[in-house]
Amino acid sequence: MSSFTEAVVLQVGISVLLALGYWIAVSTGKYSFGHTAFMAIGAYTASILTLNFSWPLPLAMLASGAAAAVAGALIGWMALRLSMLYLAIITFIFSQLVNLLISQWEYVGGASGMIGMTGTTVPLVLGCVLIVVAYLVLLSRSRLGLAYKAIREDERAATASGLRITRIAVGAFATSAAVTGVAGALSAHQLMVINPELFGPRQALLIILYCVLGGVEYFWGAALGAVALSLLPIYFDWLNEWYEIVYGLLFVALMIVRPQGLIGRRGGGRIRLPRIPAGRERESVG
Amino acid sequence: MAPEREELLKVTNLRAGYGRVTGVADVSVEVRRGELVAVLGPNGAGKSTVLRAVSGMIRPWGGGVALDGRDVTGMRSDLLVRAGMVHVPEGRRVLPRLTVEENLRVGAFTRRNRPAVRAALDEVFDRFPRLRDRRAQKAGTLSGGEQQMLVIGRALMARPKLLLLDEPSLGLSPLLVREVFAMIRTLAADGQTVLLVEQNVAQGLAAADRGYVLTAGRVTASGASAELSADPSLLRGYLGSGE
Repeated sequence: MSSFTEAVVLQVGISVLLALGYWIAVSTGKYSFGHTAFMAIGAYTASILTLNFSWPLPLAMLASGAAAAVAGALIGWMALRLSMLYLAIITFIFSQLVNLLISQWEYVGGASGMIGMTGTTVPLVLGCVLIVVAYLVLLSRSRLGLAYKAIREDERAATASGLRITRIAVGAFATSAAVTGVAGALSAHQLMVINPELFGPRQALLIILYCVLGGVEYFWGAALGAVALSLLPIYFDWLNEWYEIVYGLLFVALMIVRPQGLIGRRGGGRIRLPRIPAGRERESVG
Repeated sequence: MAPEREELLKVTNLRAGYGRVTGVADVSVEVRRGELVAVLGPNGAGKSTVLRAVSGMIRPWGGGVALDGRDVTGMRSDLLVRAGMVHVPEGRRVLPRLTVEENLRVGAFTRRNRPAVRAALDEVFDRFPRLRDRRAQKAGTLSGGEQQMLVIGRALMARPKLLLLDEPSLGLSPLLVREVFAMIRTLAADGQTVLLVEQNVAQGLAAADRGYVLTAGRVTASGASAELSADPSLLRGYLGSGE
């Protein structure tokens, strides 16, 4: 494999991991606007462990996933009971906070970041993708996967059927954060250099777009969206500074023609704004 | 085994509401095993609030709820489902993008015994053959009457001792209202204990064994359905307190 092909495969693989991780949260109907926070937590955790403590990368990746999962559970616990708008605001602020903290923290290089991480290989990335895909296939056939969908559809109906919706959604969010953290670790050890700027709103938006482009109904829609969106800038680099404008237009066109994304049925995979949160709904008290 | 208690649900002096608004001031209701009991009253009388406080959807402010002799006041709704009390919220809340079968399986979420879930699914399909025909169809594409069947079927998947139905006739055509009530009547005839909240007094009383009339958060009349139907003051009270 040429080094160019290898770099492409690594980048696409990591994007797919990010998309799949994000999709786990989305499958419960929860949209985060700060998943880069988990990516950053994963990237920095792994980099500290491999550089300063000489951990092998796979072990450091596990620690990254765990650290991101803990952060995801905490944020989820605070925000998931609230409406979509609050979740969006809290996750966005959290990612900004993480960004600020790492850019002020001398130990991890502050604004200039960390340098010298290596070890991300094609088998490692593809292995991770495979594990996550296997997990998602099992999930989609399981009782838990059904519970995720039920929560996405109607939280009050799910509660009435005896689902502990907050606990289930927090679990999904933590799993989602863990996968994103592992992707962050892999990304850091591919790029060799990380700094806070890499984990800003641009990257957060990109992760959301993977899912929206591919369609949120099936996980492989999100994966396909990630493949498409990470290949385009590589093969269309001749567009230079125009490429963001061209992408923007492409997206607008897509959302008009196929609001459900590339994969998914019409009226099926659209992002649906949730009802006003349960319990605070306009009541006919009768 | 302990002898079965006659009363399955005993609600005593329940108080509940939303924020600072009291919906239910003082309500005591009893449901005996095998009964179909209706809580009737005008819009705003607090009927749904009673049901929500009983089923753990909201926390009661005071009073007590006992299921089968066990105090379950303020218990989490998932534990109440496991204890045998399942609430069908108003407004036919099907899970629109899930199939009919998936909807039903969500109803059995608290049960881990696969063969038992399988059997419950067959039972619901036997009761509602139209759901069997449409088992692979998205629930959002069903008609209003079929959706009402589905949400009741979903509740039955948990094999409840007590089924709580919140305004099952809401928003249905008169023809479908009759169909839904016939369905509830059949359920009760098969031994299912039901507590029903209903704004449609005539239909509610026609279906139920006993009724409670709620006005402004208090029980203002109660008794056998036949007695209540014969009482003209009930109708007057109902209209007089309407919004």
